[in-house]
Amino acid sequence: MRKRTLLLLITAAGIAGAVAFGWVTIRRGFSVRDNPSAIEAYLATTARNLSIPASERRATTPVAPTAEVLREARAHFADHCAICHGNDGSGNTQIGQNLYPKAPDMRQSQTQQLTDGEIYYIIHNGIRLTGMPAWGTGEKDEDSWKLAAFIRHLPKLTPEELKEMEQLNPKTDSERAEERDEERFLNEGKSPQ
Amino acid sequence: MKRMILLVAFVTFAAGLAAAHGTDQHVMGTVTAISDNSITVRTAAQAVTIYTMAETKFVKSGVPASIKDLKLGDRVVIHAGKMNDKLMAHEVRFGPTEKHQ
Repeated sequence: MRKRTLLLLITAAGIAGAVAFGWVTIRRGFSVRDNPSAIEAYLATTARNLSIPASERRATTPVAPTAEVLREARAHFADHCAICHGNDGSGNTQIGQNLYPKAPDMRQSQTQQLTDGEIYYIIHNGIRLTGMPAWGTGEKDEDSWKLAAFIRHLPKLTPEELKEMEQLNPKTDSERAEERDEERFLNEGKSPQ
Repeated sequence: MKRMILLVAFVTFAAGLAAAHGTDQHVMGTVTAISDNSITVRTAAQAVTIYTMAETKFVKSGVPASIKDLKLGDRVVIHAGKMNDKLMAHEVRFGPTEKHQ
């Protein structure tokens, strides 16, 4: 009898604690500026890993990381991916840092320890409930394999490659005009009219 | 109860779908003061203090640099966002640059 009462008390305390935590959390509000909690991160990473079939995880790249492949992938990455991930893959961009979860620093082990197949699968199929869309078309696509090769290259990206990528980032007319004004100011000290 | 749990879980994760937008201010001027965490710039109109963060990118003549490379009197272009009424620098560019087409 005592045991049962104790169990009931523990359960009631647990439920009360959960309700109080939920209430405080809801009252405080949700912001994507927060970092995911350890539990969310664990659940999300586990769900992502489970979503990649074993055969896809073990898939090996059909693309050799030649200079030409990496040049093509750099251009592709600068045009499509850098807006969130940054040209250097750091994720240090306005969108990347304000997503939930934030865009990862792909130069770090969290990304680099993934298999080629996993990186390809994520690019091709995206990740549910994150900002990562599915970029692949059709069953298989070579472009995603080339991007996977470039992601492997990120930790060794040179300043020259970064500079080249900056010229390839998509820009609107007003952004180009603004860039010209800034260059004129830095080079000649002339402020825009 | 099961429905409630699913709803709460959905709302929690759906919040992750939204991407934040924002517009950086572009401050152009001459550096008049530098501290460990701020740069004061004299623009055409006024003196403006912009705060630096760990994530602030410094770029000198198109090459990654640090705040130590910045000198008083340098012309700078700072892209900054407002946070609690303070301008926080995302990128600080200085030094002559290559002309774009």
